[in-house]
Amino acid sequence: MNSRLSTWLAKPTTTMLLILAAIIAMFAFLSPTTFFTVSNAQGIFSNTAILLVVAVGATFIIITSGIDLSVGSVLVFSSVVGAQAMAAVGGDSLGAILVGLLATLVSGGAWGLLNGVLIARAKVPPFVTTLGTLGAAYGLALVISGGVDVRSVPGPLVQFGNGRWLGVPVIAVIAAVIATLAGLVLATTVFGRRTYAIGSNEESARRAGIRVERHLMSIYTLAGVLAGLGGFLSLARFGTTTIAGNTNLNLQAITAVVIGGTSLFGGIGWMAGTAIGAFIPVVLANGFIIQGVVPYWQYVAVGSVLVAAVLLDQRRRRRQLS
Amino acid sequence: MNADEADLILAARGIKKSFGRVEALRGADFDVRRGEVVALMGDNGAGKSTLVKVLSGVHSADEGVVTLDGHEVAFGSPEEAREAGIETVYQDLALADTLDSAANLFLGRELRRPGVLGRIGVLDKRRMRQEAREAFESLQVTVRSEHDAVGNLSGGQRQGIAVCRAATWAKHVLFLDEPTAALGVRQTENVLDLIRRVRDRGISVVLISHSLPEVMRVADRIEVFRLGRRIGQFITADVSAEDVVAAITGAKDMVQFEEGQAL
Amino acid sequence: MNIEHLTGTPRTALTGCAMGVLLAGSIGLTACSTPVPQASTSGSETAASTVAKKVTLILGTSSDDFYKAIECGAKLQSKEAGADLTVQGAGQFDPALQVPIVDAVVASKPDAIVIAPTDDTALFAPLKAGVDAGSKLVLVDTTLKDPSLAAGHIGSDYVLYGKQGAEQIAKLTGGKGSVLGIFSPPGVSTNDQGREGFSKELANHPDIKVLPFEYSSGEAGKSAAIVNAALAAHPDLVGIFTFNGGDSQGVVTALREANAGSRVNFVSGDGQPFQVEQLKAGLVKSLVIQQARTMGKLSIEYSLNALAGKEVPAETALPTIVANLDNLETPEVANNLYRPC
Repeated sequence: MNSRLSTWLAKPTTTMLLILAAIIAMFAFLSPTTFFTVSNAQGIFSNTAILLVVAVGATFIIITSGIDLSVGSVLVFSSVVGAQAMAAVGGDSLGAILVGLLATLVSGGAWGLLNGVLIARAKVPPFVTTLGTLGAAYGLALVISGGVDVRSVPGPLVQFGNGRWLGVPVIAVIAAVIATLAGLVLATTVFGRRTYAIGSNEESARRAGIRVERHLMSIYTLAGVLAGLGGFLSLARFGTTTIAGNTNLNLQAITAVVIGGTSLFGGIGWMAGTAIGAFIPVVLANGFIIQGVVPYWQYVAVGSVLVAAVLLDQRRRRRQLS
Repeated sequence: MNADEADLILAARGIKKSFGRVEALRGADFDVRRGEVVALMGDNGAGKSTLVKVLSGVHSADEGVVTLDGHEVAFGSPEEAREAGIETVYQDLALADTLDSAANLFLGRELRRPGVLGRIGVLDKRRMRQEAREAFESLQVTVRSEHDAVGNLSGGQRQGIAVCRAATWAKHVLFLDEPTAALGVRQTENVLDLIRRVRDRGISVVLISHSLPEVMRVADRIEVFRLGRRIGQFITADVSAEDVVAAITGAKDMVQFEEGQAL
Repeated sequence: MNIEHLTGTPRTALTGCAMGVLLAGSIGLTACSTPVPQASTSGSETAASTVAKKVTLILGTSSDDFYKAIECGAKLQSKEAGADLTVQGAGQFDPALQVPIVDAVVASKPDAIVIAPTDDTALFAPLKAGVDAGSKLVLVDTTLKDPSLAAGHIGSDYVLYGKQGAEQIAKLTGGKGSVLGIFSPPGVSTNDQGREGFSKELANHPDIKVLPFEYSSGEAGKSAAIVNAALAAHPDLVGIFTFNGGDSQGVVTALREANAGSRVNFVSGDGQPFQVEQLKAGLVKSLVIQQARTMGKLSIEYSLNALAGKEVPAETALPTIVANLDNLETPEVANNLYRPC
């Protein structure tokens, strides 16, 4: 047990949790009546939700030492497809909304599958592949939408997207459920362990009989489906597509994953870390704004936390290789 | 070669394998007896690794016959060879460095929880740890810390884990490619002991090695390859180091050996 | 302090502490450099109106000179009126980035929020939360689908914007030849109104042939490609008007490459610094600029008026101004060119 405790303490995720707690404590101390309020917390949860959903997919990918740059474009694409599908069905019924949900998940998953096939079968490196689909998905989104945002999202869906469940924003609850399920899969199932194995040593995994290509394809498809879900939640929250936006979502997701302690070099990672990593930049930005700080300092702070997280990872890996 | 055919667990006859214009194996024979350690020796380019790859299912032979336990076999993939009970440990050990020793032992063969949980893929980590402990103990492989990532362990421990993994799943034959190449003196001793224990368990070990002293100490027999064919078979106890070297370098050829020694 | 010899938990703790110090340092430094807001400010007006009103200005983006000009006007007016102004803005024109900023600003309970919303629908709910919590709301530049939430909206007269562009082109071309207008695709209300004004004015000049509109939203590469094609297809092209400042670069480049700068009269909407340079260099004949600084000034005025219970006009459409080499130095034009204070 002692060795397990010290292993847990040495995890970078634990360090990041402490840092998040320290950041919250600091802002709470500086602005007790404005930062440390229920409504501000609700806002923070809302603003982390979609990022977390996308970062869950990124976690699996980065653990296999891959990368996915296309998530922002896929989110935009699927939100356009979903909004148009709902507009085509017409009306505000649950049926129309479910059609929209299905459309976003399928279109997101399709891009993810394309990524997976190119990466696993055609052996195109993930960076190049997803850079390509980043452009293609965005371009197709523009083609389908004519460059104009689709603004007719069923009212009930927008109500849902801005609603609360026991005080917690609904989209945050959804994100939490997904992150928890995904975290359990990662930590306790064969699928999760093989994800780590492939990231640790793809050739070893292959020789052990693991179907590496198939596994990678399912991971990229999963990330695409989650980006599609992000698109659906975005429609629900904002009541419109946001074609010009989400350009940095890919980097934000990667930042969240890496800050959380997952290694960019593969084989190591935790979903809990991703959740913490998603919160840290959002809380930092929120706290800085409430403090009245010039916006640019937020980028500096997030950047330094990110670099520190990577340094920690480097130190840990160097110890291992000795 | 008066080999008792029934005693052979794995035999190759007349194996030919070419890669483009390069003839790696030119009608090679190879014998592995039950319950023995046989060393496969030869200079670079002799065809040793190609032979191992053919026998372990990585390549398929252009010509020739392979028999396992009396039945003719033709492996289309490494998985088929593994299923038939042949395991291989290459020099890179094929370990997943960020996973622990139990996870590595069960890599690709993970144990699942019973019932519904198992069907959705939940791992039975406790049982894997337990069985891994037993497997390591039975072969006297010490693992310093169960929860430590395998990449943190010493070269000798990693080698031990890799060999133990292969020995756990192997039924008939275990191929080891230069297992002691990167190890120090004491770690080498441990690995050689481990090899003997694997043999004593009933699994034949084929040891590819450049180190004659080690081979002389742990192998029961030695088969020497040169230019894609077997040119010598020796019983370790009966042969001198110089003769083996001569066979490897080609100073004496097979015919001379046949005349010189009865097997 | 050398921690190379430490391993495991002590090292991690130390590294974590070091990072914590770094973070605390950066936060502390910046907190010290800006006035710490009163912790218990609320949006409600009290009899003690000697306490400076807190106004937060949320720009469309923090990096665009148009918004910097608005910020300048707001800063100057705040200083004069004694308001405590904070300025925020995301790096990109993206509602997904602006909403979290609005949430945080709302949480900081300012007396008034002035915002250029990056989406007319997505920003409604977050801003409503602010209004419900007691902050007054003023919209500047862009607006919401339902602007009744705000005390007032200050924008430009976009119909006049297009009309003035057309007038300049008609004057420069002597009322003859083919003319091309480059706008954002239909659906962007400001551009739609601009197109309306542009077309209507050109209808008064029967010898001008109005080519089909081309669409670009300030992307230089796109507008360059558009002009290349137009020059090839229409040898009698004599005038080009762009609505969005960003397109100006592309048009100038394409005209220069085709050596058509002398025969094609280019009138450019917006007054970004690079456009002013183009005007001075003769690459652009006239600019149609929005009164950005005035927008900023009025936004503060209206916020304070709303807080004092005075009446505020629901819609203010500031006339645009034609700028050319003659009037560039006049205060009316010089003050409204897009640049920070």
